[in-house]
Amino acid sequence: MTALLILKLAALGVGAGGLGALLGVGGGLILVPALVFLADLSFTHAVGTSLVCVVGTSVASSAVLFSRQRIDVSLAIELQCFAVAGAVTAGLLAPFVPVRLLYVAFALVLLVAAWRTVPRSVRTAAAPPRRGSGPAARAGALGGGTIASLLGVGGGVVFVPVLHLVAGLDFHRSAATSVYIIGVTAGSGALVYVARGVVDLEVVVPTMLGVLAGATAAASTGHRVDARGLKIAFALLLVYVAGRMLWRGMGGG
Amino acid sequence: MTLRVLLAVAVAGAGVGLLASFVPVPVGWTAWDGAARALRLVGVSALLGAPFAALGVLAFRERGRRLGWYAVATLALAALGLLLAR
Repeated sequence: MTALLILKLAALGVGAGGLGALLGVGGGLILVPALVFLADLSFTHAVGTSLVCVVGTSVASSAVLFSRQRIDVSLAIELQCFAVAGAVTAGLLAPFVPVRLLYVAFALVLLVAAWRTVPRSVRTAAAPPRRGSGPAARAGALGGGTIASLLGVGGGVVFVPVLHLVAGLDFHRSAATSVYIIGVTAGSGALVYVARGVVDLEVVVPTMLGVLAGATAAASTGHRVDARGLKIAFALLLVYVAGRMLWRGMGGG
Repeated sequence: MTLRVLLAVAVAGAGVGLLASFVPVPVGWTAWDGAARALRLVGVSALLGAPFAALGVLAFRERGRRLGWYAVATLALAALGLLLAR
């Protein structure tokens, strides 16, 4: 591996880890295509390598966010359980599910979530009231864990809307709690990939070092970033993911 | 407090392990090459294990309470998922 490639992977890690920690997503949406392009990995190797790095984002940010008391621990532990149950269910359901139809349905759900996430100063709608845990949040985590696992998307794009729109946490707290939750959900997936030997450790090392630096810096300074800007960035991310889902659902590969 | 320390130690350990694996290997030092590989593995394993270790700590700290049962159930489900996937 050349020094230039090591630097590129570290820079990629800083970007993905930073964005992942700020928005409450793991950063896999950036890492997977970039690893295929930069490190010439196969899609499967890129997904496995990315999942390991997503765990890095979660652990590094959580270490900082715990000390700042930005994580709703009791809600995270409860919803984490339902999300992992959903992921296990997905493993059992996978052979029977019409995945293309699910792509389209999930894309529509993401578009609604994007619309609801945009701050009310941009459109007129009431802010979600603080509800905490309840049947709707649990069902959201269970469904989110199932769909995320079936479609191979990171849990963050599901958990942040569930925490913000359903449980009613403020956006910074939703992102912080989501990034803690995905440590276990992505970790469970990463262990499977490691056991199957489809994680490239040579690529993981520089990327992970970047991820640790980026996620730690973003978690330390994230509270200073305006929630309105973060919400708009997150809504744009949801629209991007929804577009990709629709494209796949329509048979676009 | 314990969780924060556990996660911080995992990040620091992984960071040091991963950085150390970049130390140039003198030609012919196969033992050092093996050590660098081991450091990489330890670094990555520390990170992968940290969320589960945190759950284990929570399960112990909150034993007998609702949160503790959720932590135990999550660990059991994660283990079941790993078994099914293999």
